[in-house]
Amino acid sequence: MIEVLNAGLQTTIQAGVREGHRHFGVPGSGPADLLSMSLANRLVGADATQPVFEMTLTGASFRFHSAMIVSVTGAEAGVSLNGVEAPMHASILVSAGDELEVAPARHGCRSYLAISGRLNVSEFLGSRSTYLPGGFGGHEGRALKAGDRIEVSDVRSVDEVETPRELRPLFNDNVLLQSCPSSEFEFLNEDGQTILFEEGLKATTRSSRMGVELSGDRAVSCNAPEKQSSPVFPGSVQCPPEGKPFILLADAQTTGGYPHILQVIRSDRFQLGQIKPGARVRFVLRTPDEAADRLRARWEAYSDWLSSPVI
Amino acid sequence: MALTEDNISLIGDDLIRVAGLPGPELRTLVRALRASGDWLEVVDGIEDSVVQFDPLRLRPDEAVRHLLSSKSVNEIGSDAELPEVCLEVEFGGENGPDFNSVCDELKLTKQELIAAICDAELRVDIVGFTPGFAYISGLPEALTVPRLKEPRKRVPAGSFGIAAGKCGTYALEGPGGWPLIGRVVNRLFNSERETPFVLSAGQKVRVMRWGDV
Repeated sequence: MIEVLNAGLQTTIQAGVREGHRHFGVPGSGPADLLSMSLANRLVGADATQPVFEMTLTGASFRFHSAMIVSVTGAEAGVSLNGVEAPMHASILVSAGDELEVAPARHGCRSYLAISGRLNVSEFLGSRSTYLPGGFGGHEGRALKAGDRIEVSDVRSVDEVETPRELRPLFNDNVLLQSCPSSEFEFLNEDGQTILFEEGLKATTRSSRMGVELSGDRAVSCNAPEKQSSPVFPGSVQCPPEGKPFILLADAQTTGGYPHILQVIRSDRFQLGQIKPGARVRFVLRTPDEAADRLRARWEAYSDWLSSPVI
Repeated sequence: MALTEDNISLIGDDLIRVAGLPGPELRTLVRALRASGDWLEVVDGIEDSVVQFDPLRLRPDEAVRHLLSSKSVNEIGSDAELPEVCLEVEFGGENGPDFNSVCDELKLTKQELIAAICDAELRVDIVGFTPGFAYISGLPEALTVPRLKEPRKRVPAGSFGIAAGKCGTYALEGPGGWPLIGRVVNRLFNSERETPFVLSAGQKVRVMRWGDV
């Protein structure tokens, strides 16, 4: 069993993406940073999509009621076991009664804690990921709070390993997002493009697992004709009339009516979960073909270490 | 009607938008694409649809070619039309807290409002906004009421609302801003079924009154 001592700003259980139900309005959910979850699970010998704890900005702390191997990845943050510094990106052996603390993020936004056993949490439509607005998946469909206890079963003994250095994503608070033009890109004027691609924007505090709002020095203007609700996905960048674009994340609604100006490319999407309020964000245009090359190159780099392409 | 290059555009490195087809053809095509199992997601918008592909399996140009080679709507055949769903609605009462005020606003008696809804030929536009929420169009224009000024934090599963000239059904409990005039007696969601949500985009709907008011 694992006991939550302090859940910080927001800690949820996340696992695989809830696939194939978007046309019923069910978002995919899953971790805001899919790559970091996969890397955490690799360190505890688990499948990439086994349920993990996703922490936000302030970290969290836990007490383990039995021995197991655990790991922490994601936002750069101090980790301590019973008050003694412990490594990120490495298997950590914990004993019954041990307490692990993840400190506030220095860079990035979300950290992941994986364990070498199965967290007994509820499945909904094929996934154990928590979707907070719908109140389903994970632990009672809600964010964790201090005192919550989650049963663990099937604890395996696994080899202790470290993520190879070159495969550890580095997050800083200047985020460059490669993106393809999307449906209403052509309606952005020159000044809007200057803001998005040259000056950059700042992530505001309107930030959640559903999306991150961006604010430039000036409003980004997109004079697209009114459109009817149209499908959107994680990585979609929409531009509402007041000129503050927002990027959609794992829990975003499945359809929306605002102009869809950009789509962050697949190989950069894991970074979206690491954009913290105040971070600088700038976009770079890529063609779909260039994006496909980048995804293949990234996957090639990880394919010896991770067993399935979850990036 | 076949899909041509004019109907499709890459709107990301794993997304293709399909637009410019008449509604019924688009819905039929979308259901066939979904049934093919070749696409990760096939999502309906009101006037367009977007398919998502696995960019490690298909390069963008390959995905476009594969989509263009999909069977035309004529080949799929008209039997691809989904069967009409009959929704039995219990109007008013505890589960329709806004029924009386909607009648007042529309200056209709309860019986007149129920008759107008039951006589309408309705069709699901899309399912979205929240999981399982179906936007259903086809109400007479006179039945237009605004959304609630303050959305409710919790609306029970099965709630039946009207707003902005449409009906809306809540398959799951969740927040909701539509005036609620009743409750659908049929189960709108069943996680045991292969298709857990009863209503799909493009589907014809008929409302029948259940019980007395």
